[in-house]
Amino acid sequence: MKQMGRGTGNWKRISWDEALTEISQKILEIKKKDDNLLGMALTKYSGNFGITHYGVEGMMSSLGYTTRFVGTPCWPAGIDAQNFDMGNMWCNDPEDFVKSKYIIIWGGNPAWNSVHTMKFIYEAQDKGAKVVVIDPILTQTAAKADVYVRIKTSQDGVLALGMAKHIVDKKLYDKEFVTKYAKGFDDYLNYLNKSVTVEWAAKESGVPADVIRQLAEEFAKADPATIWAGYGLQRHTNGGNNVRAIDALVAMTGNIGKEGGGARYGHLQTWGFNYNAMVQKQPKGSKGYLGKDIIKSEFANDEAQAAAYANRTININKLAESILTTNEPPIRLLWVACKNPFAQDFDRPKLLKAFETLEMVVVVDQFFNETVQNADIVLPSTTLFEENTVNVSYWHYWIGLNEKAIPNQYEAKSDLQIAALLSKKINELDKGSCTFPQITDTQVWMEKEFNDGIHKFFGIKSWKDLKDGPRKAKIASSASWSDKKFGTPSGKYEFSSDQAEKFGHTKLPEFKERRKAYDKFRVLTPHTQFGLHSQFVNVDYMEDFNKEPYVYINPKAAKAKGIKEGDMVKVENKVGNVTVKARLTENVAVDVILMYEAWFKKGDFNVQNVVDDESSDMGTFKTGAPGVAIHDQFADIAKA
Amino acid sequence: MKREQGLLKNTSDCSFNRRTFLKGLVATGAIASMPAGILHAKPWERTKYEGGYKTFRNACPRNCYDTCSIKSFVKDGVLEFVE
Amino acid sequence: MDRVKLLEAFRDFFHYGTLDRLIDSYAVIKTESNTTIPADIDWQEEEYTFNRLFVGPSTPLAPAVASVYLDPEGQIQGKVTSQVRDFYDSIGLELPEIGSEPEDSLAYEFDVCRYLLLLIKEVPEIIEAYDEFINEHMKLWLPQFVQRGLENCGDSVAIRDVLGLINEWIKKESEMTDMSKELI
Repeated sequence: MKQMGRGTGNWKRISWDEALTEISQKILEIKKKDDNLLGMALTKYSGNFGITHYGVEGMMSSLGYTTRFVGTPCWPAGIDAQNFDMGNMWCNDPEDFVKSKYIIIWGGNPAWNSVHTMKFIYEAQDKGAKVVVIDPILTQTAAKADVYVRIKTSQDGVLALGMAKHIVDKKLYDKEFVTKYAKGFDDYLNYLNKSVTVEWAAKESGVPADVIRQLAEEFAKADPATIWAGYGLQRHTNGGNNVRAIDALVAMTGNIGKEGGGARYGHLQTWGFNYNAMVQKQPKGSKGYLGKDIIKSEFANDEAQAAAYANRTININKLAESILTTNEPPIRLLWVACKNPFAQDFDRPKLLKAFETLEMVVVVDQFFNETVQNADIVLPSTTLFEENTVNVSYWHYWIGLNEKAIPNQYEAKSDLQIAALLSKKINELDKGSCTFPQITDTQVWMEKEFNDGIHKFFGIKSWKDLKDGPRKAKIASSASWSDKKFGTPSGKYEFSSDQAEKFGHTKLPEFKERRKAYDKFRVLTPHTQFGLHSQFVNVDYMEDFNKEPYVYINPKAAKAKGIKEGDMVKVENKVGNVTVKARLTENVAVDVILMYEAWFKKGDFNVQNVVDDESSDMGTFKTGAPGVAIHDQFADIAKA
Repeated sequence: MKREQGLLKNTSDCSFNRRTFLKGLVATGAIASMPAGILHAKPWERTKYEGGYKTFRNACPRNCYDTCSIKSFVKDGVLEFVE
Repeated sequence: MDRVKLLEAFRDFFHYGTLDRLIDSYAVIKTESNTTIPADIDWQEEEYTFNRLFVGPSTPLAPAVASVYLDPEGQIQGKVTSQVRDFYDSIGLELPEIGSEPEDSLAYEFDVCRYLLLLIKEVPEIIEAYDEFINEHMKLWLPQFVQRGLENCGDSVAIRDVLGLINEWIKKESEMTDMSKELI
C-alpha cells in the first residue's frame, strides 16, 4: 500500500504491479540523475535470519552498486574481541554446560532471553556446579543463581583484571596452557603486576575485594569452569575490552578448549551455506563507489566485489546521522527489510528528521509498525509459515528446515518473491537493469543454499533428510578449540594481539576507562521478557502480561527525587525524553534507572528517545563497523 | 445454465446444476444438518478430518539464541496449531 | 431494483478497494437502491477512510470478516470460517486459493448470496439455503459490523451511506426469506 504523505495514515491500495512499477521508476530515475545507484540504500538486520533472506542483499547487488548500512547493532565488539584473542568467535555446545563445575553468567539474562539453555544450567547446578551471575541488575537469572554479584555497569573488564591479578598472586593459573598454547602471557602478567591491584579493581567495579578474591580462587580451582559473556557487557565504549579481559580469565585458567569450560559468546560454525540468493552480479556497466568499501557481515561470507567499483558502506548504527550527512550522492531511496529502525535504531528524534530528507521509503514487513508508519510504500511480507528456507543458530549446533505450510496470506510475498518480481518489472521498463533471477518458488531458492560441506557437517544426504526433524552438527568435541589450534596469526591464544593494535586498541586486554557520564543517572534499556526487540510485543495476548512500560528506580534515588511508586515521570537527556510510570525496586543500583526496550502499540513509548548513537570500541575488524554503546547512556528523571 | 462472472470459481468443470448441487447437499449433509444454522452448536466434525492434518517443519527465524523448531499442523490450507 | 445487481455492487465495493471501483460500485448501489448520490463526497478522503476501516496497513478498525464478530476470540480462519467454507462447498463453490483469505470475508459472502439468488430460479429448494445463510449467518454479524464501521468512519459520506444500506438490505432480505419460507 502507498501512503500519501509519511505519517499521515492516509493509505491507498495499490497492486503489486503498481508498487513495483513506481519503485522501479524511482530506481531508474536515480540512476539517470546520479549516473550510479548509490542513492539507493538498504538497512536490514535480524527480523528474519532464514538463510534465503540474504536474497535482499542479492536484490540490491543485482540492481547495481548501492549504499549499504553494515555492521550490527548487537554484538560486534565481542566478536572482534574473540577474534583478536582466539582467531574466531567460537563457543562450546551449550548442551555441554552440564559438564561444568563452575558457571559464571556475566552480563546476560538467559532465564528470560535464552530459556532453553537454562535447562542445561539447572542440570549442572543439580550435579553440584556453582552458578554465579555478575550483572548490574538483579535479573531473573541472578535470582536462580547460587551467587549474585552486582557490578557497576561497564566495569566488567576491571573485575576480570582484578580476578586475574589474584589468580596470578596465588599462582593458580594453568602453566601448561599459558606457555604451550598462548602468546604474550608474560606481558599480560607484567601488566597485571604493574597496573592492577585487587583493591583498585574493587573500588572501580563496586565488587568488594574479598568477593573478588573468593570468585577468582573458586573459578581457578574448579575444573572445568566456564564463563558465558552476555552481549550486554560489550555494548559499551569499552565493551570489546571487557570481553577480552573475560576471555583472558578463562584462558589463563586453562579452561579454553575444554568440555564444560570455555569463554562462551557465540559461534558461526553452522553457517556454511552457499548464500546463493545473496551473491548476485551487478548489471553490466554499473557504476559505483570509488572507495574500497567491502561489505562485511558476521553471518554471511564477504560479498564478492568487482574491482573497479564498490558499494558504499555506512555504519548501520548511524542510520539517522548518515541519512542527514551522506552526500554525492545523498541517500534518496531507503529500502527497509527485516528491521524496524523506528523501534530499534538510536537517536530516534534525529531519525524522524532524517526520514524527512528521503525521497522514497520502502518498507517490507509483516506488521504495521512505527517504521511502516513512516514509509511511502509498504510491501506486505509473508511469515515463516508461508515460505521455504533453512535456519541455524549462533549459539546451539542444530539445523532446522522451514517448510511452506500454508498459502501466502492475502497479498503477502516473501523477500525473495519481491526481489524476483522487482527484477521482472524493472527489466520490462529497462532491459538489463537487474540480474536477479526471476524465480518465485522459495523451495528452489532454499535448495540452492545446501552444499556438501553442510551435508557432511550435519550428517545428511540432502536437505530432504531435514523433513524428519532438525539435525545436530557432527562435532568432534562439545568444546570449541579442543585441539588448541587457534585461528590467530600465531596459531595460539593471544593475550597480546598485534591485530588488536592494528585496529587501534591496546595489544593486551588492558583497563579502559568507561564512557564519561553525560547526565545524572545511568540509563539501561535491556531486553524485555515479553518480546524480541519490537517483535511479539504487539501480539494481543502479550499485552495481557505486559500492559504498559515502566521505568525502574532504586527507592533511595526515588526518595531523593520525591518520586513514589506509580508516579508518572519524565526521563530526559540530550537526545530526547520519555514519560513513563515509575516502579521502585532494589533490583537496580542507586545510580541506575532501567526501562525495558519494547514497542508498545498503544502508546508512543520508545527507549530510543534517550539513547544516542555513540560507538562501542570494537566491531570494525569482523563486522565492518563498530557496535553501539547502548548501555552507556545517561539521563535525569523528574516527576512528570 | 447461464452464469454470471463471479469471484468464486466453480469447484467442478461442469456448470452449476441441480445434480451437482444436490450431490453437494447430500455429500456433506450441510444444509440438512444445519437446522440451527451454521453458527449454532454444530459439533466439531473431527471425523471428517481424521488424519487430515498435513504436518510441516518450521523454525523460528528471529534473532534469538534458540531458533526453536516448530511442527505446524495444517488442514484445508489453514494453520491450526503448532507444536 | 435488481437484487443481483445490488449484491454485485456491494461485493465490488468491498472486494477491490481501489478508488475507481469504490466510485463505480457506489453509483450502482445508489441506483439499485433507488436513492440519489449526495453531491459533496470527498472521494480521496473516502478511500483513506475505507482503508483505515477495512484494509490496513494498520489494524483495520472494522474488519469486514464475519469471524471477527462471531468467533469468541474474533479469530479468523477458525470455526466460523470453516463453517462458511463448508457451506460454499455444499453448493459447489470455493475460493480460488484455499487458505489465503478467509471465506467469511464480506465480499465473498455477498458473492455467494448472489449465486444463490441466481440458482433459486433453477432450483427452488435453494431458497432454504439462502434463508439459512441470511438469517443464521449474515444477520448475526452484519449489524455489529455496520455499527463498528459507523462508529469509526468519521466524516465519511459514502461509506456511512453504504453501511446504512447494508443494514437495510439485511433487514429486508431476512424479512423476505421469512415470507418465502411461509410460501413454501
